[in-house]
Amino acid sequence: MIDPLVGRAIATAFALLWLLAAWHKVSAGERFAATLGEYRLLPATWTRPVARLLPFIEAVLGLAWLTGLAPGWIASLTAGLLGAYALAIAINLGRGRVHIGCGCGLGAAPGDDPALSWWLVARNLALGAVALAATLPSSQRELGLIDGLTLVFALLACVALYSGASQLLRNGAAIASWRKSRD
Amino acid sequence: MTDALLVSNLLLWCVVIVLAVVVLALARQVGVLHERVAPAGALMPTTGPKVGEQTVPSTYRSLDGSPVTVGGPDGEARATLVLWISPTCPVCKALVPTAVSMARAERLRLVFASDGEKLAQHQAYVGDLGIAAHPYVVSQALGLAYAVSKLPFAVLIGGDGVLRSKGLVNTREHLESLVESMQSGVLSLQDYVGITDAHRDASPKEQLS
Repeated sequence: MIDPLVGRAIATAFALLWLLAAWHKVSAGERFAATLGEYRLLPATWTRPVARLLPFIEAVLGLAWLTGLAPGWIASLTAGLLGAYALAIAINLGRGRVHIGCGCGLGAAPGDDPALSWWLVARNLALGAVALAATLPSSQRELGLIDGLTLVFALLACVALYSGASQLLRNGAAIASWRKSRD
Repeated sequence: MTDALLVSNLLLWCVVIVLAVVVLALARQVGVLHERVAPAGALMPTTGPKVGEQTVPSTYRSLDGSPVTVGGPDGEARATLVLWISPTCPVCKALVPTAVSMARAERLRLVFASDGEKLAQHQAYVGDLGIAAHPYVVSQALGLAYAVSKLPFAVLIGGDGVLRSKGLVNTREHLESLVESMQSGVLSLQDYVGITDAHRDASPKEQLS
């Protein structure tokens, strides 16, 4: 049993995550298509249509989380998409293609995406698990003003921590690229 | 009692958010610091395809519309020098004539690469520099494929399609070192310094004894 507030917080956070992710992929469309091509998982002719389709799917998922329609399906789809991304990253890590950007930034950030690492795989799997947690049966109680405040504060804290974690991934990649230059 | 808990809870939330923002700011500062103090002499980035690897041929569209293939074995077995430049990079402008004359002297196939949205700006740039005779590719994909992060950047692909050398090039010496690296087999300046360091470490002991 989870508290309804927890479910609501997860839903709002994922809505925010998907909408920002979709915005990022649309705002730098050419760049994302090139990044997707660098993953070398799809036939070259598919890269462009898939690069257009992915942000669309993400935006639909984001809106669905907001509206709260078919929560079970949406949570499973979210976990599935995150799992697919994690698999794509893991395959490229296995091939040793660690230098490509992940294409997983949020918002209209002009900066670079973090380079691929096992941390990203772990992050996606953890996010997928959180999404699935939203499907657990929730207890019933009326949500009041305090719960609204808690929701807003929790979201603010999540946004700051998520950005901080992404920044640390970028720093980590920068440090790793120097260290290798010695051997 | 409930009031006290409520106040304490709100206060704690504020502290949590302020702390999270502070952590984010610290991480960003560390990131900026990394960019600022990046090793000044590190000519060869460690990301991207490695020297000695076979490159994969990819075809791009040049500024005048003709297809340009970069990577893979060359039909005439000529080495290819790809130089990334940009209208907004002052060092690049100074380096272009050097690259052109070097390509002629060493019989290299010279390809210029850049990226950006404004094609008219690139066309004017090509006209300014008088490099219309060489293919000029405006492609983000090409830059991503060789992990180009700083300009001017050059890669040298041998006639057999093997990546011979690459690096950040600021001067004629840097450009020449790429060709030198292909002919001598010493991968980079870092490698060369490594070899001479090892040599120096070994010699003083002999002098002492």
